[in-house]
Amino acid sequence: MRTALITSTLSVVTLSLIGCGSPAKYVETGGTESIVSVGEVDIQDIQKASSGMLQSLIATGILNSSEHKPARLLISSVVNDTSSQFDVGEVIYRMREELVNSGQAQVDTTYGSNAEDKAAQEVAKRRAFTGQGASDTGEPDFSLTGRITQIKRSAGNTKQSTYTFRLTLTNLATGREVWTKTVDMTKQGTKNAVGM
Amino acid sequence: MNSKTPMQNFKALAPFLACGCLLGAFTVGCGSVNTVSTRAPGKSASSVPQFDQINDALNSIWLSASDVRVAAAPSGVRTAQVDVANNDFRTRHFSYRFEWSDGSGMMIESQTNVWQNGAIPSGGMLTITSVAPNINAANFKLMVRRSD
Repeated sequence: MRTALITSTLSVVTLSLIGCGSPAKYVETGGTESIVSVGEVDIQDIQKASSGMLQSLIATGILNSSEHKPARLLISSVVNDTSSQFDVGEVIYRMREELVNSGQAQVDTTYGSNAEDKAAQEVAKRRAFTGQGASDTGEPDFSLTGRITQIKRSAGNTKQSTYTFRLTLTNLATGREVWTKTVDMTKQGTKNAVGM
Repeated sequence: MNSKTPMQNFKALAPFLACGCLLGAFTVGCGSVNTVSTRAPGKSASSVPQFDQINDALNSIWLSASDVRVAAAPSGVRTAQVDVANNDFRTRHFSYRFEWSDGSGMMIESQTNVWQNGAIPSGGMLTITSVAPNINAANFKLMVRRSD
């Protein structure tokens, strides 16, 4: 009798524990239900950084001043200098999508020793060698480079991280910086949480 | 006939006076927006007809709009700015998102349409800004949510 009682109690407790976990569900990417991490770069941080950079770049209209229309853009190195591991391409690709698909810029993917599209670079080389290359072989107008840094601080159990996204656009005809933008994001808390 | 001395009267009223002073300090010191501007008040209402709707949306999360502006950026694209004021007694955290649409009302898909965060201390003000993704953007939609 006693064993049965203990067994049934344990079963009820186990079932309750299983039932308490939150089931998986889809949430809006970067939406207000996203997980916020104090010591890591989250998807919403990447989205906000891309958005801030894009809005600044579009507002200045610097791409419209290029020799070529649309402007030709070379993506140089963007360094992740934070303790958080993520692909910096997530920031840059979002910007490229907006600029290229709206016809405001064209990204050169066959330039240099570290070309993004090796196959396209090979084809371009072959065409140039055989004289079948396109006449449109002009140099890029701008180069985009950047750095992402982090400042960590804590007071008692409260941790704070400031992530700074910096991008710089250089006019390749003059070698001078023509646009730069910094986007800061500061997160504070004792532990990660759900919701912005 | 009142036989109490003025000091006795004061002592009797002291707790009420103290409560009144505390209440007054809270009302004046925390709730009122302590930001001033050289811009003429009310000018925004005429430049952006939807000022009242924007203010109503912000009121629903205990904030208010004190100014709304739309102007062209150097590149010609539209830029919207909303001055958000916090009249409450504590810091308010909120999220907001701008979505731009073209002249026919079609939403323009853009990587700039993302949720942003704002935090305004009691009595403070924050200007939230959005640059339209391209020259075809004519109108914007502003969404706000409480985050605290």
